[in-house]
Amino acid sequence: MTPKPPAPPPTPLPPDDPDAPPSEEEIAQSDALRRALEDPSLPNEAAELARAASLAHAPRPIDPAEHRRIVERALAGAQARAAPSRRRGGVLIRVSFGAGAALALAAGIALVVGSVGGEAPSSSAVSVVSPPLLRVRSTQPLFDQPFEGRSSGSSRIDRIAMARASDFRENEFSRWGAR
Amino acid sequence: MRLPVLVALAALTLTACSKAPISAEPREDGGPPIDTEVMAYLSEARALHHQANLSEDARDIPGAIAPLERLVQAKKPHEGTKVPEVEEVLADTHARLAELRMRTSDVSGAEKDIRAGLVHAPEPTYFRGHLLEIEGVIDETRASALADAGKTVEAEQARARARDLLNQAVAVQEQVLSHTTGTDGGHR
Repeated sequence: MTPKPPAPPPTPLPPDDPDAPPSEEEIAQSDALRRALEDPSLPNEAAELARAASLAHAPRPIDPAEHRRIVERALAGAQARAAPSRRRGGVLIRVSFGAGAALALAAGIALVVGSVGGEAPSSSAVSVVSPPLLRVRSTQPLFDQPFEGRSSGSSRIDRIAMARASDFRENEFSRWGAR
Repeated sequence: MRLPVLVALAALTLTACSKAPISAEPREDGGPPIDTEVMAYLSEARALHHQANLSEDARDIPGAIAPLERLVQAKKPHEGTKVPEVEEVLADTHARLAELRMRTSDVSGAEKDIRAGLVHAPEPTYFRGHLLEIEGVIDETRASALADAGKTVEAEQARARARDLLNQAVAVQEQVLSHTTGTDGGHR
């Protein structure tokens, strides 16, 4: 008896062909969608999604009575939720104020301790928090490049003033914390 | 009981922060930051130089000299501190004044401006080299005038001074070139 040949590998499913004719199932679904769009009382997920997208884009005016009912319901719910947490909120506020006062007191102590130590606040101490700034320096490197076009008696001063104006803007941005 | 503990902890934290390393800052030349004071001076200098341009273009040399004289006498930023930008603007302004005065044949006035300008440019910079170059040209002009007047000895002395000053100008500018290009100043 000869051994049974191995079964051929399963043929891969054909990829979805967008140009293929619609199946029976697809035809039935599209028919149900059409009917649900015509009659909102018919349940259909795709029709609800389409209606929601349409209303989000162009909402219809709400009935005033229905609007009042929604607002009243929302306010009643908010009051009911707020009532039990009122005491907890008060505790939170007291803790926040207490911690803030403690930090302020601590900052005062730190300043006093620092000054008692004999070190007056110096400019370098201030620079701990100040951002790096561009400082005055020789303008010599500005003249590595030749002047373009006709240079006048003010060309060098122009170049100095413009270069330092750019540095000054950088310093301003640093001071404003915008760098 | 809890509050004092919190205060102590916060104080310790803040004290530790005050001992944190100082942030690195570009402190080239160790001068003050470029601020409104420096910029106001540079803006004033630029405006006055452009006023001088307008007069110079109209061939009004005394009119060009006036705003530059005002600039060299103007209040400087950070009085008592050497601001390189201000020093170099002043050196360049004195150089321009000297050249303008030469055009009105005010040789002694031009020499005064050169001396004043050199005070603002003690280092071997382009500005110092330019001032020495103009001073050399002044002596060259003087030598020609003395020769025309038949004063040959004085003319030769002026010529010698001109050579010396022009050599100094060349030496300074070669130093500047060697510094900026990283070469030996163009010697071949």
